[in-house]
Amino acid sequence: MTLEMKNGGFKIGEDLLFNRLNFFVRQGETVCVQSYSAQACSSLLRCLLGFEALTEGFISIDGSVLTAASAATFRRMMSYVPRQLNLPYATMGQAAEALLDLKANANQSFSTDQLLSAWQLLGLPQVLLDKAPAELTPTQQYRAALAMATLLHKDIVLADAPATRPDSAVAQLIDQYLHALAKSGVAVVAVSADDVFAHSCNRIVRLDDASTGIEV
Amino acid sequence: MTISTLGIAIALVMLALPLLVLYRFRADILMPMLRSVIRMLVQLVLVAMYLFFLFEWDNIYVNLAWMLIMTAVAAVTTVGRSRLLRRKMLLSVSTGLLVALVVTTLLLMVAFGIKNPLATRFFIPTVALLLAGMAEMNATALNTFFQTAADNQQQYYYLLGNGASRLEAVTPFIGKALSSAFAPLATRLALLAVMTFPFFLSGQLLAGVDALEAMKTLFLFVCATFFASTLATLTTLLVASHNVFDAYNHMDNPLAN
Repeated sequence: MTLEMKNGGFKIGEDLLFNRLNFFVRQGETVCVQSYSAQACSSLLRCLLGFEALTEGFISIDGSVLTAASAATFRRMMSYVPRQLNLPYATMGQAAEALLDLKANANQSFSTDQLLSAWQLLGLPQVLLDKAPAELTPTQQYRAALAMATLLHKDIVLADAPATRPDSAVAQLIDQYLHALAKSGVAVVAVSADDVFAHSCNRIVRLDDASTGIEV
Repeated sequence: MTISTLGIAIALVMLALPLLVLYRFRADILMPMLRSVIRMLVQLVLVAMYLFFLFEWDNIYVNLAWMLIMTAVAAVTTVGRSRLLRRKMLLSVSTGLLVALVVTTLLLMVAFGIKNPLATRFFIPTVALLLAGMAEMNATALNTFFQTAADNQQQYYYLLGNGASRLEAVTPFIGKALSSAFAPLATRLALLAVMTFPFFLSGQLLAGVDALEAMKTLFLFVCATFFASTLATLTTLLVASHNVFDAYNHMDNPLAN
């Protein structure tokens, strides 16, 4: 399974967010799209998720082009980690159940123990399970979302950069988690401004000042 | 039971007393009350006139035309009350109300054992009661749905991004919309005999309907209003989703600023 972006370009109004972006990611690989623009990072993921149409180029999975009509089908193969997870659920447990209740995830299930094990790898304490998402810090929300998304066992994980830059210890936990995920056969596309994380990925695509994608 | 000219005169005297009291004690509300009373009288005369002709003609096509006009009026009221943009939502709301009206009227026809559901004596009051009941709940539900959707875009895209269909992603908003719309009904149902009795049941009892039949009719109409409101709201949202969401699942929020 290969996810590819070919000559991808996207603009909002007259603002060019990225341009001539080319990359591919196979199962078991991690690609980091590095940009200091949070808007460019989030917009890229929105395009990969089929929430926005590229203004240039195309996205494909195994040769099938991502379109508005096919996006819903492609999303069933993906899980998404947003920048933050400030959701209106009473507890994080309910937020996890909300994902499992979706038809696309009907064949997946994870026990509370599995979720807490994943949280442990990401340095999250068990007590957070009964807390509302709004009671968690932005970095805790991000790690919780990362654990929940990856336990859905999808072929592709799209991870936005955390809204708040984590400290180095937490950043290392996130990096290790994502790389372990890739080793298990998942294709990981992560957006980040962090050099340390970027250099730990199989490939880096950097958006330069002209928003052009350059593989380094 | 027939009310004579003397009876109308007595009614006007009864109406005059509170106005005189307000005048005597120089109450600020006198002029607004006076304007409301005049408006009420004009509306009653106009409604009486068109109802007189509707019952006089007892014509299926005229009744259907009246239903369509009243549905359009109810839709405009609903869109206004829910603070939605008329050009975006009028068709969806009208469709929702009409579908609910037709289905519910047919069910009531069966429930009442009426052979001719388009007869004016059954059709006009039924449509009027259902529309009045639906309009308020529909307005509340729609406003809550679109406001909740606007406030929870993160949740919406999070669910979509993790495999939800559009319906699954908006299900939390539908739940909130139905809860807010039905909250007043929950109170009203509990106080049915106390709050509705003076109006609905008294009217029937004064017209000579048997007390037990009057209670059964009240119960039937409450259930019908509940059913019709739910159906109208869901149908409106289903139709609206084709106009309000684009192919990329972006919602062009129809809430007026």
